[in-house]
Amino acid sequence: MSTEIKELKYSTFKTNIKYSVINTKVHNVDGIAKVTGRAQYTFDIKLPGMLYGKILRSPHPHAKIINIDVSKAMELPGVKAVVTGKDTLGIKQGIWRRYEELCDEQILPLEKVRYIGEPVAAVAAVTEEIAEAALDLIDVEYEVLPAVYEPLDAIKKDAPVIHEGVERNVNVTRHIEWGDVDEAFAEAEKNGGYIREDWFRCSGQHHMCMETRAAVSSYTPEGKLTVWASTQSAYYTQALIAGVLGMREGDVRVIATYVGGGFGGKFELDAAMFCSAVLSKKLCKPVKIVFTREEDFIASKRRTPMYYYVRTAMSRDGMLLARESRMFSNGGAYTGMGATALYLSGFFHSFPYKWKAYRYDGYRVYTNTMPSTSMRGFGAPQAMFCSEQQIEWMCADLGLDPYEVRRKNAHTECYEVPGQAFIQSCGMTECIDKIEEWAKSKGDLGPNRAIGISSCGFMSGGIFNWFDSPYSFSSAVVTINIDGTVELYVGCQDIGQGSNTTLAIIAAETLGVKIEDIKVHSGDTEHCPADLGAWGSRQTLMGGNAVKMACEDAKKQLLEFAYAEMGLNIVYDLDIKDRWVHVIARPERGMKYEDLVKKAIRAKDGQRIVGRGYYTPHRKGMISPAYSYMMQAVDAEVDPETGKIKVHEIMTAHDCGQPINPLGLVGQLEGAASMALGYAYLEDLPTDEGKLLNPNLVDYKVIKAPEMPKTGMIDIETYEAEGPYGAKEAGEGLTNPTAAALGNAIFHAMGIQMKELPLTPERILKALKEKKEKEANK
Amino acid sequence: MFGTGDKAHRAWIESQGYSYIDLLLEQVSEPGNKSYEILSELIEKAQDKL
Repeated sequence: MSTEIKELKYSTFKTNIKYSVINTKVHNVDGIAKVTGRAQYTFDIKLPGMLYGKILRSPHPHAKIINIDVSKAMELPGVKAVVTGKDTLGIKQGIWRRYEELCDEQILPLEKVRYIGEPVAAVAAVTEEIAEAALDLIDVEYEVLPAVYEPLDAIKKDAPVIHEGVERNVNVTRHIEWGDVDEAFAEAEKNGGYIREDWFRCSGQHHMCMETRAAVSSYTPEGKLTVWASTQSAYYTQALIAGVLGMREGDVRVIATYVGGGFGGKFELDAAMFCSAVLSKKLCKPVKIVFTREEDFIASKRRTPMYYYVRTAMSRDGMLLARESRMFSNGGAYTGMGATALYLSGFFHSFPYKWKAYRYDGYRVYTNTMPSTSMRGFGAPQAMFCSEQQIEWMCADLGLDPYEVRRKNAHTECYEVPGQAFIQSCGMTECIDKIEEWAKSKGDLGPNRAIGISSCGFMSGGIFNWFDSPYSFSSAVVTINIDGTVELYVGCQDIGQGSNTTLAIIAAETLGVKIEDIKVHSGDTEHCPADLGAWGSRQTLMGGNAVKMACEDAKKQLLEFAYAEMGLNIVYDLDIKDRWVHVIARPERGMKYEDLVKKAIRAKDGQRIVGRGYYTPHRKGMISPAYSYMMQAVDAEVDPETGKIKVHEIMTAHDCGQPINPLGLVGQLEGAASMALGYAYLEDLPTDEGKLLNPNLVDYKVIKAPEMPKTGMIDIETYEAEGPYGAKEAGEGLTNPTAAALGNAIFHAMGIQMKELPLTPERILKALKEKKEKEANK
Repeated sequence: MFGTGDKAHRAWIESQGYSYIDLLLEQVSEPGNKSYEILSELIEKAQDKL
């Protein structure tokens, strides 16, 4: 496995500024702590007198809770407390706080359970083993109710009602429309255009974080609660815990330790956080809960499974005329972040093309299965699997060049997605050009092997505030010490993606110091400013803008003093680069940064230099302030005897604006390729009567390191005016094109059209058999 | 046009003799745009009465 970056400078928007730190290869600022084992994860937290918690879970997909008898469990020596829904305030919580009806989940429900694995009671004991043994002594009396597992069954009139008052189990709907879709289809038909419709089924996917859900809660008699948690957002966790416990946010401190992966699955309140907090509050003792791998599989959340109907009209010369899509998603038992995935899936299903008429109706349906939520790509990988394959098939049906069709319909700079978004920077066309060039350079690949392509775009931070946060989306505070070192306080959350390194680079560049001068403090609500956290590819753009603003504020204070100190004519401009404070027009004329800091602090009556910055997007449409673009090519081979896929290489042309850290970019590319390929042909969550059949690492297949193909990237540099130093997202969006590109490779290699994920050998063999029978019948 | 949280809209459709949820699901399960056409007719009629 190796990743190479081909340097390609492109775009008229690209500035010619030479950076000192940005776009240099910076190793993760927390890399040494991680590889030497000094990094402390929630699993590693140990407090004096700490108890261990375990959670009893429902064996039924849908049942009323008649009674819970905990008396026998309480008699077991070593057990300190057992809690059920009756020990809580019974508050229904959710991350969509602006909409009360979408806050539908009681962790430890009072009346009924809605999926297998839902928590019903929690135990705290002196050891994990005793807590585990106590679970067997809790007697829960259920009245089993009829259950429903698929969205298309759950919307039927006679389907079981999962949430009282929610008709036909429809949880959320979303409609997106522009142009006159019916007229556009009618016109396409009249003018001899080509109309094609297909149904697709996209599977779920487990987040597969190396670190399972974990939390340690410590409540003290003063009425203060501290929670150490594996979370993507310390602020969300703080606010949600305070809400369900009836506490003030300021009385809850959340410390996000090092996080072993999140991928969209760790910014809601989970049962480890909630149950440990309830137990700790009851006992005034610290309580730790760590999910087992099996618990993580059955009772965390998953990528949303989707059924897509797609109807597209294309002119005979390859212009995309109209599209209407309908999507049913399997929402599982609760809303979670699935409502956002519903919208984003429909929005990115239109990407990256200029549709004159577009209509999407999305329906999120409750079922008696594990809840679905956000996961890297946020509904877009499913949308692209359907869209990009159908476009490829239409090109083949009409005998058109798929690169040319994509090029002539692609987004360009300054394009407005009608009523939805404004695109400022866009390197889509260049991405297509470079991938076409790369694919053609590969020549003939031989039998049963082909290159499939897929293009897409993705957001650089979500604008939506469903959480109803009164705070800025991102904030940063920077203080400069007497020796010139810099303390950077951010609310952004590093979950392994390297955001602390990205923010340190932006701080170092802005202040004109070295990367080793920056110390990043994040993930502690008591010391760091509020921030929405790590989701929606937002931290580089939003956190980066806040950091840049804070550093500019601090730098301005330093330079004001430097002007006075150096006695300069006010027409001269000053700057700091590589710790050298200088006149821009005469760089040799200046002073050392450390000397300036010492003098400036003395001049400020001994106060350290403090800078503040914040960022909230305004007037940037409904989705995101900026969009990344990419085209990916997958070179894959199919064994016609076994249906097995071998992926030889993945090449991606990627416009992420100005890259901040090329090493981080490579890490994101490889991580996304592994996750997206797993989604494309390996990972699945099959169930039987609501029970997950593969909740372990033996039966749940992920790509192992030796199976990873060679991955490469062609960097298309553009300059995004809204991003810090022109940067956009780089990482989440890369998960989106792979399943479609692999599907298209299989189409070109074998002549089969795959409409269901994952692309397993069984499905490929079935499709090959059907193709053979069809040809024989001709 | 449709969406969660739009309770007033939902109640109004039902006061016109239509089931909101039936219209909603018909929109997704039937080809064309029938539910929206019904809705727009209802809105036009209601405007005429003003």
